[in-house]
Amino acid sequence: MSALPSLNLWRAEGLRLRRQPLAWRALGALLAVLLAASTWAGLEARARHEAGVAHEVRQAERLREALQQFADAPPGPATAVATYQLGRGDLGLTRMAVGDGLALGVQRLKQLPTALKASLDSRHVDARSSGPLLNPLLTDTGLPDVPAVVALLLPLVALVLCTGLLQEEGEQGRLGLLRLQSRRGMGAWLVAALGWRWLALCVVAVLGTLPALLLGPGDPAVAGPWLTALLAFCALWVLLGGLLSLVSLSSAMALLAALGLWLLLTFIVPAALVWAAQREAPMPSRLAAIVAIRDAQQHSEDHEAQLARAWFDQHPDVAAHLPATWPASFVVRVLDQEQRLRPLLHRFDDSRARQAAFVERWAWLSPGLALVLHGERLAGVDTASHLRYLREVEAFENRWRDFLVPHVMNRSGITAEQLTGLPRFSGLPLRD
Amino acid sequence: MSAALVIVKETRALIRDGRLWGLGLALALLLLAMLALGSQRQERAERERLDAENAARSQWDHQGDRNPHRAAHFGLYAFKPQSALAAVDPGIDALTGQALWLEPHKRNMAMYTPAADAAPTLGLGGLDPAFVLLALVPLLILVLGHGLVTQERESGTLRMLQACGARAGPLVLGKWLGLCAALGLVLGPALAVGIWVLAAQSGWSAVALLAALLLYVAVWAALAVLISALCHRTRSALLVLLALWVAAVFVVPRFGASMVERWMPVPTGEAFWSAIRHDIEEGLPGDGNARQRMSTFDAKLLSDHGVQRLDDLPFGANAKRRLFRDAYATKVYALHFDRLWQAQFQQQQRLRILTAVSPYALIRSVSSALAGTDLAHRRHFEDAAERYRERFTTLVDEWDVRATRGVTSAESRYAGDALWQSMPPWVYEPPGLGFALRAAWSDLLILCLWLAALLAGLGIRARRLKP
Repeated sequence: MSALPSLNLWRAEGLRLRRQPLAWRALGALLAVLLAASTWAGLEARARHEAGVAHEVRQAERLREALQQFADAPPGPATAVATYQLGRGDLGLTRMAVGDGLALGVQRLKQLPTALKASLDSRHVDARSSGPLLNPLLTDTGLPDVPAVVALLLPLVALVLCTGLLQEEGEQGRLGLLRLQSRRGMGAWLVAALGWRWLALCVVAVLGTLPALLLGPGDPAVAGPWLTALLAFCALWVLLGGLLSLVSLSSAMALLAALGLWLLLTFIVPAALVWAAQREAPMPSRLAAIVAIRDAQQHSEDHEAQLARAWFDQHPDVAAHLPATWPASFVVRVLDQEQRLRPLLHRFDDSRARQAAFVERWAWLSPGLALVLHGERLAGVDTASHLRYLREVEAFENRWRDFLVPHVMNRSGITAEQLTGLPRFSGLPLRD
Repeated sequence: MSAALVIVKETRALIRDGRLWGLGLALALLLLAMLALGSQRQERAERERLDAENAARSQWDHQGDRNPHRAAHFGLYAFKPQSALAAVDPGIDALTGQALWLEPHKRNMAMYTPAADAAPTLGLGGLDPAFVLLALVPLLILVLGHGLVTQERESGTLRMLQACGARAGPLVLGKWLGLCAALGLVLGPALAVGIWVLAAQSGWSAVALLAALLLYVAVWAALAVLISALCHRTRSALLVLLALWVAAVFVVPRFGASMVERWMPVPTGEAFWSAIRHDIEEGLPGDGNARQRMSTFDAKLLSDHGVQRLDDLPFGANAKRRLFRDAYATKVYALHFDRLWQAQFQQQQRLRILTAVSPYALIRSVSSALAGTDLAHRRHFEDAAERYRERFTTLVDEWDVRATRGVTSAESRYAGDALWQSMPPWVYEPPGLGFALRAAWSDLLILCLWLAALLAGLGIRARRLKP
């Protein structure tokens, strides 16, 4: 007997599904929620893109203003101070580059520092983010990203549609009749029933999530990998629902078992993975890091004169002005602090990378988590992308300081002509 | 048939139901495990905070000889203590900074949000005791309660009961109370142990949280019995309740929060800080710009003391001017931070209105308020830290005014450990239960209204109950 259903069986099962108002209500509710969430995400992604374009325009304006400011400035201590202020100002602002599927991970961006500033000050004690100020209450309870909404709700609807198919037939006394009518066996009947449900879910999931990618600013081609993952996700949950239909339980118990499975795979397994990842790669303490930062600040304060002398020794092309006074004395202190603190601060990034790698390695245990991680990768907001951004900012900050510090230390300041060579942050692939 | 008889019958029936013990005990164990993990995490965080607080203070105390103003910029840190109940409901703590740097001239925002360092997750919130209590316990209630009336109808016993003259009112009331009693039997011990352990540290807040939880459970139990009375089939009742649960726990609060964020945005960091910079530089309306304010102040200083130059003043001129400048900056910061807090509280108020249809959203507000992890407690802490910042920077400058004469260089080091150690320590006294109840009274009131409405609904439905 072939497990492939005949055309008549397909038709019959299609008709049966069409006449189940409960199924349509569940699918309709899912579609409504997905549509709302993805439209929201698409608009947010667009707004972020527009903010990115506005940021670029503002940075160009700031550079123009700086060029004007330094055009007539005579070399001297006042211009050196102005150079120092420029080096601490907003010209060093960066924005994290994102992927084409930003709409699939736009909410995640809210929890990450994505607008860091290269500065002549220490970035690690800068408590004045230029990014959005968010009400933590709303961030905590706000909409998750579209993949998370799918991971949360689609399995529930899939299980409601697919669980207890056989059991219900049995409870309503139709199973014998069904066996008689199914010339190709119950397998073919189940394939047809589940096939229609998979198709219905796929249509809802695709229609429901596509607006995010269409409204978002990225290349719609990113829809390909997203939709592939989505169809596989639907298939998996339909299959799980189908398997529960085969278990010898009452339909009510099968539904409860499905609910338990959903809770397990959607909440308990991801939480367990995070817990295990934290044990695998414990995150150092941020509070202990503050103490280390203060130690470094103390050390540089105590050795300010030696640090300035050492800096001039390493830069024989810059005329030494000793003892160094503000702002030169501040700049060498920050450079020293940075050198001392970077290994410690890299430990946070290493832990994050290892935790993320651990979670990714085991994400197959929770299909929902795997889908969310896939969405984050397409959005370019996954941990690896964010850590890449942090490294880019660090490299940019090195260039920024290498370029500006000599002009602060020489007590002459920078000229407008030299300012045209100011390093630019290149990690922002914005399209207009 | 009296309600008492129904309660006894329903409780017995549920006790014999394997689902109560299977699912209930699994949930109770999960709750205890989450509580143990949460408490362990909270204790570790508190130890870490105390260590960092002591170390940061010791660094301050033993700076050695410094310029007092530069030492003040080295600053102090304020770390928010966690209540024992934060182990139950971490609230917004994961999304707020862990440390506030206190320094002269500037009011900072808290740094290092734990969420930025977190491992990748689904983005639906953590699996903490609050989630188990506030989201999963209602699910258990729905699973146990969805068939209470429909099964009587499907098996024909409802018709028999009515034929015997049993009134529907006591019947549904008994079913509701029976469900509550059965839940109490299976979850009560775990809850009692948890609250007893936490009450030792949190006192009446833990008891108030328990009372709020009982109210919440009663609401969901009433909803389950009402839907069961409204539906004709057990499966339909379960699906309707499941849909309501998903809507109440995930859909309504999350859409509500996102809508509020979009409709009532707070300024961006760039706009916020630049407005503060602008108001300090250009002055608030009628105050003149920074240069004008400073020259007026300098002129008054010189004329008051009958000298021509700041250098000739009989006290530390830099510190005196700094006190004046910083007092103005503090005023501007207070104005802008107050506006920001007001905007956030207005957002919370709007969210409360939008999500009043979800008992879950209401109880989340109540539990985070009682745990001291809500917005109101956050503001209380940050305001206290700001007052301390003002106090210690003023004390340093006042010492500087007394200890020096005329204009001094920022490079000269003339203060030592005695001054640093004379600064009062940062002691934060978290607000008590009254503060939490004031922050959450409207949510509690709406939750009570929910219960009253559901019980009224049950009464109305009971009168029209058909077999």
